Amino acid sequence: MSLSIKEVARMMNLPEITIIRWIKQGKIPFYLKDGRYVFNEKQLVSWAKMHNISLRQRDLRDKDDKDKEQKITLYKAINKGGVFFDVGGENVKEVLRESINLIELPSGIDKEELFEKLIQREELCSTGIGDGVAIPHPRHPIPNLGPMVPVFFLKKEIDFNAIDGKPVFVLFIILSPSTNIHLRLLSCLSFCLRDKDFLKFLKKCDSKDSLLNKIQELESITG
Amino acid sequence: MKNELLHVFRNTPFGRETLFQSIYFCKNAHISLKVYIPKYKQFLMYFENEVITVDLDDSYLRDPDMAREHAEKIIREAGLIPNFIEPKSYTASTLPDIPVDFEYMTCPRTISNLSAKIGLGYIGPKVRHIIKNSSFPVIIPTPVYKEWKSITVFFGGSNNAGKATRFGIEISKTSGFPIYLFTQAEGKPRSYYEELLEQKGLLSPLKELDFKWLFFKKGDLKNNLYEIAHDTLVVIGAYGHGPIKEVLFGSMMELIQSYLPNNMLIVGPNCTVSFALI
Amino acid sequence: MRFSIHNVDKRIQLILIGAVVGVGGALASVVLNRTLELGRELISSYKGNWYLFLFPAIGAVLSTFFLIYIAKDVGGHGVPEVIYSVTKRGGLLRLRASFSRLISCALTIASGGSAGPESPVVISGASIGSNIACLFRMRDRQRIMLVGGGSAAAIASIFNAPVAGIAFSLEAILGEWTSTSLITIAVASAVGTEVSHIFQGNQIPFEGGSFSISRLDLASCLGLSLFTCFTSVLLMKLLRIIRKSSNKLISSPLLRAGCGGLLVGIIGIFLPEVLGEGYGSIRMVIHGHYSYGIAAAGLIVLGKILATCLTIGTGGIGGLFAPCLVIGSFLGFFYFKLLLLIAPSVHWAGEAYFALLGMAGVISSVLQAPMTGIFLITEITEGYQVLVSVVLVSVISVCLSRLFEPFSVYHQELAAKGELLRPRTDRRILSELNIVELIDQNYRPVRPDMRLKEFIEIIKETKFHFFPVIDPDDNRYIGLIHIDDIRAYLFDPRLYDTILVEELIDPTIPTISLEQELHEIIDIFDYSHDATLPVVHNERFMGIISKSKILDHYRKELIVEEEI
Repeated sequence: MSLSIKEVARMMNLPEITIIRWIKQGKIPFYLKDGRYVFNEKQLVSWAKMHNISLRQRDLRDKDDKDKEQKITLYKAINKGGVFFDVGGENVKEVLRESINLIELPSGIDKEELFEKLIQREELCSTGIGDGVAIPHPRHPIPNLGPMVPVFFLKKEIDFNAIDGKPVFVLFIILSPSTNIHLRLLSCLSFCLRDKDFLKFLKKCDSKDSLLNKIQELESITG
Repeated sequence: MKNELLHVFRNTPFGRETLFQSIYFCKNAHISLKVYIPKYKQFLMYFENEVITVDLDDSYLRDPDMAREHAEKIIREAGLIPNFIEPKSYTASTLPDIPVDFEYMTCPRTISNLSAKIGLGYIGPKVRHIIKNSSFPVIIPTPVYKEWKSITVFFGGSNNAGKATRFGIEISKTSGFPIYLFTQAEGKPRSYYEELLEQKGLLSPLKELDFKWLFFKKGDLKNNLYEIAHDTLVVIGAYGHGPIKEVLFGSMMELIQSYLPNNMLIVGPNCTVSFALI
Repeated sequence: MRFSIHNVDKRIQLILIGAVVGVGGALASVVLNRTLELGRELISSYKGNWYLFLFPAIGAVLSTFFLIYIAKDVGGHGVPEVIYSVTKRGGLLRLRASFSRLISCALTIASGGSAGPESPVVISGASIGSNIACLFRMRDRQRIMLVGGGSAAAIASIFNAPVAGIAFSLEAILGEWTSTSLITIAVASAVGTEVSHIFQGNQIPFEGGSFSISRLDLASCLGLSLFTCFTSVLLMKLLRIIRKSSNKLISSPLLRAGCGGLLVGIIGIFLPEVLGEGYGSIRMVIHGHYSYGIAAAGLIVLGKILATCLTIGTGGIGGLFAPCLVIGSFLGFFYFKLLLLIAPSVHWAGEAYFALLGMAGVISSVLQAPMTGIFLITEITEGYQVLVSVVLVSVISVCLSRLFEPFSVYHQELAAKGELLRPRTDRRILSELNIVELIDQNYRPVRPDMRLKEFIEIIKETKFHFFPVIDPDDNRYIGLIHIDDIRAYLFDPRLYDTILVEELIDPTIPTISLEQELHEIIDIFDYSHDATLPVVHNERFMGIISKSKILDHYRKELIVEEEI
């Protein structure tokens, strides 16, 4: 199989002009095909082996993962997680338990374990970020879970020990498989929450579709 | 930098006692334990100026399938994390190279010949060889596990004794145990030895640790040795003087090791001190 | 003695000590040869008895027994150990290696095993050089030179060929031809030759006189090179196969050696020339006293290859040098007879000529040391007549055999383990750098439960780009935060109280351990696209290692290694 200069440059993590210079200096085996420089894959591999050069096929930290992350939106996450109203409970623990019971979790995820992790995080530092909104999330990302952001409008306002001291009326539980995704969702949400109109809307929100529409509107601003 | 103690594991009840000693030392000196379970009858240690072939007696290779399990169990029960050496380089297919960048190494009195008496007075030639060449001090523990509750350093004024004192101070600091100095003055006054300690920068750290000085102006050395506590770690320098001097004047280390049954930390002439003394 | 020699100029020191090493190497050779002679006399008294063919087996068993249980040493012919010591251990060699193998080898060869005395003498000479260097507390570089000197003296003293000794030492052992190492090695070699001359004279003397070499002879060298290349490759491959399979089939080293010896003995019944180290047979061939035909010669070549592989492959102690010479000489003889068959009317240069060329060809290919082959033959013939022919055969044979066997028989094992480190190569420089030298211990640790707000204050105070997250209770390393990864989240005040430091850790950052080799670390850097990576040992954070610092040190290391 023959390889182009571009492919060889990528495999060796070098710019193409370096490969071209090596060709001119006779440092790398090549041959001419239709007037272009190409490489025989087998020959190149054994040359690299002799010189102890490692040829890259894949990276440890794939760029593909990073691209995947870009496609995550709050809209999709809330859509996947669901929106629930009139969630009961008198205190933090109860509302969290009620909320978890409402979520549809993939098999293999233990609800009790999730509850423990949410509580652990609350105890370290309250997730009540003010204006009546709380963003509970597990202390460490749970693999194979999410990304999803189920939303829970509480029947009764609860004291969440929030920063501004105000009681909380809505929970956005952020569930993600990695810290990168978590931070991304968090910053999307934070962006939305900055909007005073959105906060007013939240207080009166009564349907999943209206919430999703609003979110989509706000996200389209960022692009 | 690695802050580790090298322990070569003997999978026998005797070896178990030695492992307990190493664990105790690690806990008190705040270093990690690194265990080598031998797979071959020999291994090599490449020091700066010498390569030592360590021949192991048969007891080191007893029941190799269970050796790792036994060692892991003992270490875990003591609350430490088991950490084993897998030799990466081999001089020959059955001669592994063991790294030498450790802070300490535990050696029983003999490695190559268990049938020799494990008693006072005998330190095997390989162990001596290691002490002479290593950049780390060697711990020679008592045959049966015994916890030491203080540190006694033999200070005779030489450079090596100074090094030994540094190690004693460091261990006293990390373990919290009291430190004693033992000096058999040979006609010189106490102030002379104090001067020496001052010159080496050892006097103030010692004073901070509230050290006690077992200073003997006269009397038979062996009689004076009785004052040393039974449960102390004896720290002493070795081979600091040239071979001729040793033959002519005798060696303090030889005397101590053949007379005292305590746990011993022997500081050889090539030991390097890697910690600062503040 | 110690203080006075240190006052003398370093170079003169090296010359004097080199001379001492030369004497040592020569004495090792003399001792072994005398023992072999004694052995031969002893065996010859049994000549004619039916059980003579058992001797190689008995000798092999005794030899292995002595080596393992009495000398407590390990097998192998020893030259790879010398190379390993020179490339990775600054020339340190065990003292035990200097005498244990001489005795074992004597037992193996005297009883008829097909091996050569050169390798044990080389490791003895090298070990003597190494330990003398330790005695005088010399540094790595000088010690390596003395090891080279000991090896050169060994070869030089056996063949009365000082230049061949030097070539062998530089080509095979040290892998470099530099002017400083040359002096010590040359002195050792020359002194070794002289000392050995006093005691034992020349092993392969050649008083043959002149050759009349025609153009046709030169052309025929090409053909001979093909043959030598083929036989060398056959020898190396067969040795590997027998070594591997005998290790698998028989686990007891004594039994293994015994079986090998038995087979050799059986071969020896039909082809007695394959037994022993074979100098006698070589002398016979180059003096024209070998009267057998082409078939016999061909059989001997194959038989010798088999016998050698059986002896050494099953754990016999001895080297390949002499067997290669025997194989080469008989191969040359075979080729000569072949030429006579093909073109009987041409006046070829004679069997001695081709025998010598065959020797050069096989040695060059098996040891991948063409210069050694060339100089050896030149020195044996004590003349330059055959120089052109020898160069032709050696060089072509080596180039061809390299296609099939890229590494010499000495370097194979090391290359397979990745431990063949030639001076001033990338791998070597990386192995010399110590990871501890490269760690940057300037850092600011942060607690996992710290809020982003406090963390930002720390970022403002310091100039670091990375922050290790350390558990405050047990000092354990939890993860690393790279400023680049969290840039997006630093400017939204709403997040300051909602994000904990531990949520900012990038779990995909690989960690480096203090026990990893530098070339592994560089591979990790290549794969992970990071410019800096954390070093974690026993769960403690040690510091950061950066790619640019590695480059800096690498360059300085290379510069220091260069010879001016």
